[in-house]
Amino acid sequence: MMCEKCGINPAAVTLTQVINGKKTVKKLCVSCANENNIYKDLNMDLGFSSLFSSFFNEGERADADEKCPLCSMTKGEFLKTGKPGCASCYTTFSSSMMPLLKKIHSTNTHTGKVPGKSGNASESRIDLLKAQLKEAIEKEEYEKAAKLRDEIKEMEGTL
Amino acid sequence: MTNYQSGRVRLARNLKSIPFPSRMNADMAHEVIDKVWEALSSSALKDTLSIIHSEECDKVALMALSEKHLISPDFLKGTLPRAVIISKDEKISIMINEEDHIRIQVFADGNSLDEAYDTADKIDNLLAEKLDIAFHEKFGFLTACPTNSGTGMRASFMLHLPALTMSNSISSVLTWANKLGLAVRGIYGEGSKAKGAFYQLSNQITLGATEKDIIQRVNLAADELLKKEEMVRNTLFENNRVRMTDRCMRSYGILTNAYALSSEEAFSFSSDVLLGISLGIINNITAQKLSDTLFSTLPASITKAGEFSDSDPTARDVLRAQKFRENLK
Repeated sequence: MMCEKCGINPAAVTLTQVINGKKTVKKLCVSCANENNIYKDLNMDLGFSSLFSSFFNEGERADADEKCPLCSMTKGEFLKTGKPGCASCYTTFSSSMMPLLKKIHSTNTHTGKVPGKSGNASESRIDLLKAQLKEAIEKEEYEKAAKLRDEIKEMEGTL
Repeated sequence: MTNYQSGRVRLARNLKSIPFPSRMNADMAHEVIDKVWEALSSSALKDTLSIIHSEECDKVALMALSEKHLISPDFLKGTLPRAVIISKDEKISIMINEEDHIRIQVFADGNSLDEAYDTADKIDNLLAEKLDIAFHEKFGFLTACPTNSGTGMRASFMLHLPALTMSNSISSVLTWANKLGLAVRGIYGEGSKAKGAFYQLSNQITLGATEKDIIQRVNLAADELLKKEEMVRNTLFENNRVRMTDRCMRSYGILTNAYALSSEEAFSFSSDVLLGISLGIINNITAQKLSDTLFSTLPASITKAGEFSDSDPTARDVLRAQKFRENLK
């Protein structure tokens, strides 16, 4: 038996459709059946929408009730999808956001453009970090200073 | 130009004080549309731009915009009020309330993305003058998906790679691109299938590198891929002169004589004819004219052109075949 639609290929699939209570049965070849989208109706959730959730550590789930002040997304919700609800989520959940960005991009420090100005952020940011480093040393906050020093080194290396 | 190549640059931007589209209501959506349109319609660009509201536009017209890549397939989904601002020459499109509040997209002329980036950069600066753009000094531009954070930039080329496809080399292309922080996928973006050996090459990483670095990397990778394609193409041709000539000529014969053409057929025969043009087998049409014909006769575009009802594929196929016959003769 040949495909009832194209008449060229042998029929391989029986398509039974019930539309408005009326049943139709068609014998189709594979390519015509594909056109009819019968395989595409398989709406299975493979959980890819929460792809990033596997990127987080168990420990980060501790304060899951913490809420973003702008969009009221909770940390638990954020950890489920890895997708922030608004710009404020980036700072509210920054302790989880930082390692996530690092896993995606292998760095978490922007070196490109800043709003309204063409050119790079990295040079102006290094100046800012150097000022913060100076201040930290003056205040004898050595732990903070060491972190800043490493960050400056890393950025100067990427320039 | 013997190779088909079409580039674009996209910047994702958001407003600081409004939740991302995934968490906003219709009022907020209208607010974003109004703010962006106000900022641009009072700028130097105002005479070249016009706005289309998703709520006021029928589905076929929107699908036709998506086939021209002026909006993305995701723009068509859901009920959130969206809008797209398009320039007269259709080189610029600015989607509002897709995944991000603002997606600036600029198409490139020729084989370099530099100029397209400069245009996108200028539009971005215009918007930043008027709007409070979400930005973090460490994370860069803040986007709805962390895979776009930093520059918020996606620089891409659509490339036609028939010889690499025929020789089953695409999987090694994917591995190669991956190592360079680039991705290769089907032409209608994420999750879409490669049709007629058309692929989209784009940067995967958006954070840590500067815009110029990313643009340069994508430019170089596109050049390199086209060189590899040419090398494989010439080798295949030397070894299979008769078979490949026959395949290109047959497809040309079908495109110039068929009475009805489905869009799948149009893709696959056009791909063969483009190959024939690049090999010098077919000389009476340019790659540009053929690809223009192909991309202007996709299902929604042809439905719109022929004012057909949405459910009439036969009429579409007949009109598509007619367009091919006219343009290729």
